[in-house]
Amino acid sequence: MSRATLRVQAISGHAGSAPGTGTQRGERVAKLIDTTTCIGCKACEVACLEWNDLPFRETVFDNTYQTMPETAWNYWNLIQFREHTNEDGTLQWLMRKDQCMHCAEPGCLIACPADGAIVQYQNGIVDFQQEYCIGCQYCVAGCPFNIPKFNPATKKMFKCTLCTDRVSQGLEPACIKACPTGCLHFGSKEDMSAMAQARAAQLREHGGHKNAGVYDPEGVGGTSVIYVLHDATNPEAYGGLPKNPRVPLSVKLWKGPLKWLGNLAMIGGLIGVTMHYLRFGPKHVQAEPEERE
Amino acid sequence: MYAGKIKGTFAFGMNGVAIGPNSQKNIDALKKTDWLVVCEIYPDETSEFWKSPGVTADEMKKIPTTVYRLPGAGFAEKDGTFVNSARWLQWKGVALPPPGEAKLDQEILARIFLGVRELYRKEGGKFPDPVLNVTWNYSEPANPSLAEVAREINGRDLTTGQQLPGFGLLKDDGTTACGNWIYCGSWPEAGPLMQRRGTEDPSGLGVYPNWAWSWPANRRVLYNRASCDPAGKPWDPARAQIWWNEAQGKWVGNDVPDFKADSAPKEHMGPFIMNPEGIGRIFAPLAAFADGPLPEHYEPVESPIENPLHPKRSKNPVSKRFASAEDKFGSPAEGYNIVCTTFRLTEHYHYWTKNNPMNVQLVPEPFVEMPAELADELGLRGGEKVKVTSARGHYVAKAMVTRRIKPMRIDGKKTYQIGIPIHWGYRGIAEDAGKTALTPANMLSPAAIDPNAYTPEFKGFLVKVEKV
Amino acid sequence: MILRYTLVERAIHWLAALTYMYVLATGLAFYSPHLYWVAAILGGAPTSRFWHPWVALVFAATLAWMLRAWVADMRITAADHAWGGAMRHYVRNEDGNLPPIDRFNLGQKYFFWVMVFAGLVLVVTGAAMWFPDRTPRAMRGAAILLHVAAALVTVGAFIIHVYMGTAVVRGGFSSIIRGEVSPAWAKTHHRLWYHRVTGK
Repeated sequence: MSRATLRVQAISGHAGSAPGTGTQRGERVAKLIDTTTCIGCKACEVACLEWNDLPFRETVFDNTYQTMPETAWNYWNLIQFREHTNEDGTLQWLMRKDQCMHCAEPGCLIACPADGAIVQYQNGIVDFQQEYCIGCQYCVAGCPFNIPKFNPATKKMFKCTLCTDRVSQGLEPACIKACPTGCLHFGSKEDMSAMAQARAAQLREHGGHKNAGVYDPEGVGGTSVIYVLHDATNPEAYGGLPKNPRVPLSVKLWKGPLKWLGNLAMIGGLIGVTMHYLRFGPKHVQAEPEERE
Repeated sequence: MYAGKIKGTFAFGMNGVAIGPNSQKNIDALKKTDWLVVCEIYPDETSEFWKSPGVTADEMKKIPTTVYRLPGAGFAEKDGTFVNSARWLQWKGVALPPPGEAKLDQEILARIFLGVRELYRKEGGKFPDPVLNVTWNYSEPANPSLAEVAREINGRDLTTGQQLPGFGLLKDDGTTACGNWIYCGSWPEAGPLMQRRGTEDPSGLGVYPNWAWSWPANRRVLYNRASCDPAGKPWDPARAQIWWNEAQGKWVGNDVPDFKADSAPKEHMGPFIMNPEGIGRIFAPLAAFADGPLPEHYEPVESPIENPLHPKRSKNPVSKRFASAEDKFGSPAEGYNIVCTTFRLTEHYHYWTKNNPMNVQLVPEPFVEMPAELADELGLRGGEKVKVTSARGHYVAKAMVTRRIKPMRIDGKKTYQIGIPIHWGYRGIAEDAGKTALTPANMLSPAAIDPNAYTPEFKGFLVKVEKV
Repeated sequence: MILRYTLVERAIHWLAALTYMYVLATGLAFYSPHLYWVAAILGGAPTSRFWHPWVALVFAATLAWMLRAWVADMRITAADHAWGGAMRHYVRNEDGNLPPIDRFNLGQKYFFWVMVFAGLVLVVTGAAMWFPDRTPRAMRGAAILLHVAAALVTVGAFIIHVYMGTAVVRGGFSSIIRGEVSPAWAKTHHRLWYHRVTGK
């Protein structure tokens, strides 16, 4: 696994194919987050800041234990706390670790116009390369999870890297290392999916959570970050987790049909005017006699 | 101290004002002393008691206490042992040296001691013998190493100079010396057993006999004789902690027997060796319990209801209570009809993480957790300020309105509970920035103490709550 | 010679042309990976991304000025409809078969209004793209889609405008440089305007 992250699979804004595509088979990695055993201790928040040298910041009290309303350019993972009343009137305090989902079909990468600013490795990790980022924020439009965040000072975009620097050295991501309850797991996508399904089955059969399931949304081709939810039929209860996330239709239209139409129109236009000139030539004006001086 | 009888205090890594209970009384007590020596890593509520909220400039001038503030070392800057509630002594090393002029606790205490001893030598004083004649044979008298101190606590045979292997060899004839019998055996001649990190657990029972050292005598489970039947055979063969070995004529096993090793089962020695009769008690003989002899139910010293068992005697008649003017208690009749408990957060630790940007980031300000129904009754929304008042003091902070706390029905009465995290006071990052009301949570709590174990009953009490 | 465009009109037109070509070039770089190199030669990609909206605002200002200056001249009249009905003659350079029209012909008026409305769409969607955090999430993708679509429309119009002005209508290009046209040119292409300004 150690050199898997050097094997690039897709590059944003890149003419041509990613170099080395299909030359080697990489193992896909995944992070499994079991929301049913998270205690909201925020060790993962701190571990991420410390590993990535991100500064501690001033926060304000907002009637919740949640550290801040959403992730930031320098705060890549956040526990979302929600007090949720079930249909039967019982209360659940839901805690969900919110960070980049590392989609197999990353809307951010598809939307990005800057060559090399977003890279997807064959192991599934989607990484921003700030040196190539132009700060246009198209990735913000492309992401169904509201993850990429803008640093107004440097005009670059940032998000969770799934600790690609650690993973490429055979280590688990910092958040997983810090988690005290063992609700975070890391391994191959295959193994993590199997573990998640087993845990969800256990919750359904023995835990009284008849809707427990795994969140691994197909609309983005599946993700390298998957959740076990007490109620997989209601992901929105977990602080804004979209039920059916997809690369937005607007992005797909813009990068697909509109691109083709536009290219056709422009090239067609140039060919059209050339043909017109060849056929009809310019207009001539009859000069008046008094002007011929 | 409050009665004026104690003239001075050393506060080393203990924030007595913030810990409380009844913080205002603690502050007032400190105002009466001659001197206070604080060894801390940050200025805290105790070391700045003289400028606690409400103290006027005039009053400050009149406070006679001389306060010495000594920069101490943090836990990562000291070696020594931590003892946990499983009774393990675990030795830790130094991660980094103390910064600047900060010194280790033992160096500070040693230098103070040597200075006081010099004064006694020069000027004499009341009962100088223990000061002048104490054994102080450390290789660096002004900065004793904790390794030497730990060896001393373990105890040695003064005639041979050897470290003692166990408390059974302690004598009352002056030939042995020991700091604390329960630690005897932790540092024998073989070396510091509390530095061991053996991860073997051959029995699979979670005993880990070679991980650090457990007091007393490395026994991991106390009263482990009780895990066997009267014949000396384990009740559960799958969990055989110890057992009687007839051939060897002694108790053996996966743990150190908490028992007289050669007392055969037929001698019927009871497993609860700290009771003379060797067995547990339901009826406790007179004098064993201050409020015995039978188990009883009493309401806490501030309770929303009268004791349903015997309303005329609701509270424990012999619980230790102080009788000063500042030891006041409230009742529902006086309007204190909301139950308040103090609690701790995951994101903060006691009274020092309010100085640490990382913790302050995770939870930046003090608050009061309040049931949504109570907030509705008071016309309060989350984030709005509330004032919580007990018979002893008040606390002001923002409300955290939550559905997680539901109203209770106690003895037919609807009763609310609120929770207050303890971690803030009048000195810290948020406090210094003017973001809090500077009221420590323990301004509210009462000094009430269990009459037998002296366990504090500080955490639960009655308050009234109003919008600010 | 007859004055067709004042100095200010010409200056504004060329400012519009330059700023438009800059946002077109940088825009094309963001539009297609195959053209990304254009941003590189215009000072680098982050620089291009920074200046694109500012230069676009200048372009929008020129559009606003031209709107104020030419709104009367650009109104589509009955004469234009008549001309429009015969437009195939214009395309085939059979200009003798066309009814007279005023200062601007229907094609020029279409170009003007397309640029004004597309420009408005570009400014509004461009603002949403410049400040996505102030734009509702659901609208962010739509803004980009509309911005690109409107831009492509202006490209088509631009190709025709440049072609007509430089290759087809002789004298047209110098009119927007020097400002003057010959009476014969005016009579041929914009007879009603010729009558209005000369009385002949």
